[in-house]
Amino acid sequence: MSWLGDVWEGFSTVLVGMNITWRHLFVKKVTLHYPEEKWQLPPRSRMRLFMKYEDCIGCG
Amino acid sequence: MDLVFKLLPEAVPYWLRVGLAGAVCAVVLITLMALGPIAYVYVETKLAGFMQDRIGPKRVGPHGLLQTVADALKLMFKEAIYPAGADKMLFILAPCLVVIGAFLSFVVLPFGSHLQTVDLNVGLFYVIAVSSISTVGLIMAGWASNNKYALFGAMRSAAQIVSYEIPAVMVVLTVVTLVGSLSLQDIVRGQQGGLPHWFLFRYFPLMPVAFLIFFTAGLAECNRTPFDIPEAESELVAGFHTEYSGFFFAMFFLAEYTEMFVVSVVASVLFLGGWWAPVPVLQEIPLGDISIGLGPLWLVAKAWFLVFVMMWLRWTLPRLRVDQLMYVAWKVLLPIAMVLVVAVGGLVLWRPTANGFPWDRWVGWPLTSVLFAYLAYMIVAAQRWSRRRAREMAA
Amino acid sequence: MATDLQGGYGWRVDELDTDEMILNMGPQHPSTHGVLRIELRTDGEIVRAARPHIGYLHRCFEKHAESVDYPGVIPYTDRMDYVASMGNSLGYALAVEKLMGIEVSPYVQTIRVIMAELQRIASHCIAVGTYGMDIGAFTPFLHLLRDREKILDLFEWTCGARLLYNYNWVGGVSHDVPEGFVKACRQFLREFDAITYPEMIDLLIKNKIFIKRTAAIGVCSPELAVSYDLTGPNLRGSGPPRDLRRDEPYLGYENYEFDVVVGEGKFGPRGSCFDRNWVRALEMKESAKILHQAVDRLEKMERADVHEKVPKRVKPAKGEIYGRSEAPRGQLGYYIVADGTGVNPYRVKVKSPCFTAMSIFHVLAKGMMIADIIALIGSLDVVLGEIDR
Repeated sequence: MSWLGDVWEGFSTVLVGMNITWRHLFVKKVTLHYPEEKWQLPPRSRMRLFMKYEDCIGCG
Repeated sequence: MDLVFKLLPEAVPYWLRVGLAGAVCAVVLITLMALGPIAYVYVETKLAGFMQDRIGPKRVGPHGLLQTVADALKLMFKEAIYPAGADKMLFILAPCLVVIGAFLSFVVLPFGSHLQTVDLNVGLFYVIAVSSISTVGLIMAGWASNNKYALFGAMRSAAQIVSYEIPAVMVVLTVVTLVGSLSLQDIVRGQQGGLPHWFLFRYFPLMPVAFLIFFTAGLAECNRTPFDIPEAESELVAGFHTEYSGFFFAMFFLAEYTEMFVVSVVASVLFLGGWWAPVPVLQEIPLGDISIGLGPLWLVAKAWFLVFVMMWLRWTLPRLRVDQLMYVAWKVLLPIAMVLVVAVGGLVLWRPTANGFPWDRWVGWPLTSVLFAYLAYMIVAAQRWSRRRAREMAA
Repeated sequence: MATDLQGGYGWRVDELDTDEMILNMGPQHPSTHGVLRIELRTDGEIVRAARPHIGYLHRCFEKHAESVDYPGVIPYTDRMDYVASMGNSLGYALAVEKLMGIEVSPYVQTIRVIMAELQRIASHCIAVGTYGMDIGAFTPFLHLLRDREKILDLFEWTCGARLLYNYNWVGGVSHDVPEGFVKACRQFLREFDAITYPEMIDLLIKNKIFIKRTAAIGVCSPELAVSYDLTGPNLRGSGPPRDLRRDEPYLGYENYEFDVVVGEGKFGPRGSCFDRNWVRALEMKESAKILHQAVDRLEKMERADVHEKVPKRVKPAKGEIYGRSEAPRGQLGYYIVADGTGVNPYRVKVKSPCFTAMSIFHVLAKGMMIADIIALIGSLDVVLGEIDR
């Protein structure tokens, strides 16, 4: 009766997935609240998180 | 509507009284219905964020509460683009039909013992019939867009909705067998007495399976994941509403969330006890002579819980392909529904009083209380897991 | 097959049968594979023929490589497969080092292995995540992206960039690993092993709906795969356990213990889309294993100068070489021709794994439904930057 096995497997894997998503509701979120908290760039980074207006040459 | 009718003075002519009562009820209902999707869209985006380890909208209004209002305003001010070659009348008529199909079902939903607009004695039949008007609207939307993708989406959607109506209706038949009437108020009154008498817990495991089938078919009727092939984003851009912009798109959106609410309310009425509280004590708040009935609150709470489960499923499961969708409807749900109809009908014939069936007392209630205990455990376990995970990640 | 691709550019409407239609999945997709245009000739939902059109992202990499010197080509190689940049520059650096006869120290080799395996996990995070998203599961993509962010933070800490690093130089690496890198790497591996990987398997790979969507389509037999020159997870999904890290070890891979993951055909025929995805998912676990060993080794070594063997001017003698490595998407090969005069290469030709993977698309796409086409492209894991260069 592979049909019954298929139906049961479908149902149980859905429940397992729902369990995982349910748990993630209560996890601490990884969002950085940008203007209030800023990310500290490591010392070697070659980027800037702001724009220097004097350096901008415009897009065209 | 009867209440409003009786409140109007006798001097007013009959036809005017009926007309005014109808108009007042319509205005109240439409206001309530239009406000619903605003809350649902907000909850959906927030829920999506929380399940994906991020917060949803948080800038517009405190904690992002006004986000949907901003979205609705934006959609209203957008230019409504009509594609070249589109059939203009059908193009405009299609979203209207979809919205009408969703809204018409509100007329018979029982929000309390006397809070129903019209108590049709074929109420259930009416709800099922009227929710199919949206199907015509979807096909019109696909055809009138003059776009291959939209037509694809509309055809798939029509096939899907029509296929899933059948198991849903058969399962509804089992509930009707238990009560003997198609009127929604009678169905609710048949579940009097608190949690153990709800139709969900009768004839275990037949009625819980019936509930699951109805819920799954309802998901498919609303075109929600895992059945959202008609509006699949990564496959056919946006399915049948590809060409709609501005307010028309908002109408499709509105109709989808309203349909979700309607399906949830019907499921709560049929299986979860309608406007009865789980324990009879909580049904009314007595304040001296009068008492405030909490019926509407309970119904809306149950419906919102089911809407939450629908959203939860959307963010967990992948999509089913069209032929697999059809397979589930015709080869999985329909056979089980047929077996259920025969089984429940047979049981009702054998013991005519559904309330006194000994199976319910000795098998059904213990098993369902185990189920509730597991649900409560899940909530506690989630908290403990997240705390343990935070400890592990910090170590 | 040959008749489909003859006769000019695209099909004409008058050469269709009466019940077929041409459907264009245009250069802009809601999925993240890049600018790829696929022309489908369908009969309702069933695809009769498919023709991919590429070239929307061609940036003349090979022509540019002729006008900059050997170390200057490395930023260009980063931008080919922008999802897995460490692998690209690693392949190029290895090829030039072989041409010049430079042998790097074990310290540099271990650092390179760590970076390559971290990049492999990050690249497979994107591959499996976007595949889930194409199938319709939105949540695993974000969970995997959260872990990819942790890897990118490690990279940013080391070399300053998050996506395009310019890290593997000819003869060494650009920056030494900072203090505390080993501890951070171990922390990441602990979270990955305990949380991300089991959740991904439970939420996505074992989901019955996902299995039903992917396990019966896109079946590629081993002979077909070898004849179309598929490499990497695409080939291993069909059966042959060919992995360049095992067959022609470089960077000391012979000293690490890991298994070569092969598609098993658990839920359907072997070589289906599910198997290719399964290989990628399990390869993440194997990379984590290699990382544990490499990080242990790195901790025990004493720090050496990573710029020790970097030559001041790269001027190889006249010759040519084909150097290949196992990039996350397959076998990445660089054919470098040096003519002995000047500091610029004479010719750099890239054999990109995604290009050959795309070539099997029109064979596997026959007879599928439109929804499966998306699943097929996702399972081949193409990045257009590498196809078009």
